[in-house]
Amino acid sequence: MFKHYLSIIWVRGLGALKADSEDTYLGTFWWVLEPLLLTAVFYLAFSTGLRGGDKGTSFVLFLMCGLFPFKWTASTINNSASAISNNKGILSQFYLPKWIFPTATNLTLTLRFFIVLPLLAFSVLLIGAPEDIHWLDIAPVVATQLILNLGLSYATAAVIPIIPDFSNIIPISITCLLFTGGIFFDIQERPENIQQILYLNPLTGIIECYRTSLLLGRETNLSALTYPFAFGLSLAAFGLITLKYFDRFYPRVM
Amino acid sequence: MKELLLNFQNVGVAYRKRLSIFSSKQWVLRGLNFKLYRGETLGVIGRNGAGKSTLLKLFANIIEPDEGEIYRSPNTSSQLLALNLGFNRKLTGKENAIMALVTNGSSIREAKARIQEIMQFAELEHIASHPLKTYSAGQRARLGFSIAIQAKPDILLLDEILGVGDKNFKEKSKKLIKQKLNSEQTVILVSHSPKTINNLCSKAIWIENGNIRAAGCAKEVTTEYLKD
Repeated sequence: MFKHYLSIIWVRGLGALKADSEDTYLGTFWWVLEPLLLTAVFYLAFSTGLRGGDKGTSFVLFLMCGLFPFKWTASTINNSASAISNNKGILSQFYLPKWIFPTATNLTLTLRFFIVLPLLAFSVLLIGAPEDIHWLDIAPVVATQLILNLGLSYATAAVIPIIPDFSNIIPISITCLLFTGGIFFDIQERPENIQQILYLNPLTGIIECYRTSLLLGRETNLSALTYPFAFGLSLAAFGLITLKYFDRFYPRVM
Repeated sequence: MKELLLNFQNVGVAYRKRLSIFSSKQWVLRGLNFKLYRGETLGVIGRNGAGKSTLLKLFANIIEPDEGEIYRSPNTSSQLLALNLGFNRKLTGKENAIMALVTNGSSIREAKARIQEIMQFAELEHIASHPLKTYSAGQRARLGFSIAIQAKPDILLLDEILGVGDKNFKEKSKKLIKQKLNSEQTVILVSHSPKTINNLCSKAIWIENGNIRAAGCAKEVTTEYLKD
């Protein structure tokens, strides 16, 4: 049975990815173009802003290391909100456990991120990689972010159909992740007490780790990943338990 | 004695009228008692708003009742035959078919092996690799039917007899459904039409205002329904 569920996740996840690439003239090219445009906008806004000192190619890389992973998490949250209601048709015909649908969403968006990730690596190489860079250092960072995304995804997918009011909070939550995640500023330059608050954002530590390994060539500080990992794991547990508890209630409110 | 598949005991379903914690509950179905045995064809008749759709959801094991109990024979699958299989308009007919077949219970390998035969039956081979958004409504319905009819649940749920597509295909699809009805397949058929129920079902129940108004032999139930 479980194997069958995995097959469903596989075909639906890949199907959504393929559908994503159809319907526009540029197709898959948008997966790369969109984060690049986002980086350009942030560069324009912040290279001369705030302290006015962040200019040049290193700031571009700095932004990319923040924005690319951010985009992955943000899309995951957005798409998970409607993961169950989008499959209303299927779910009113026969029983399927609901966790399948947010999981398929994660598969789609993770594969998409894996297409964007080489672009980040290529930019690092092009602009100037640190001498002692170890590409594999980002593996635990990506894995931690995947756990965090799964947690956010299950929790969002589980709660929104039951309490639709929360869908109003999603855009604000994503903006909050963006502004407090140290995506366009260096968190180390903030006062100590503010840093502590900013580190409550689980993305903050993750993005810092992307930067230490890709921009500074330092080994990933695994202890910095403990909090986002635990955060993701507990949200995933909460989400999965809620999905299970309301398993046969969702079809009533779709 | 035939195997008991479903046993409804005093089953009721209630919905909140509005999305508010102060909203009172409204009973859509209440006090339902009946049994379904393997191989039976049960007809469910009732007017609009009688609770038929909710009852179908209970049969399909999609929702749980708010009161009473439903016994289900272990490992019994039930499925509603429907044409809307959650198709993605951007994907091709073939891709949609594989996705729907796997979601419906096939393995990926099985789905790929059967795809040609299904497109052939749907008479859509020539446009199998076109995106679904280019299909006409009739073509989409034909694809939906051809996939849905592949499912082999223990209990097949039908919401009206589905005859889809143009005249030819309608005949073909109706014939296939009637074949299923006359086979060993356990079927629950929901319909407004006493004639359909009378022709195709052995037993029937009449649902009105969420209660069973009459139950028993299809002929008796439909005669009473017509008298009302």
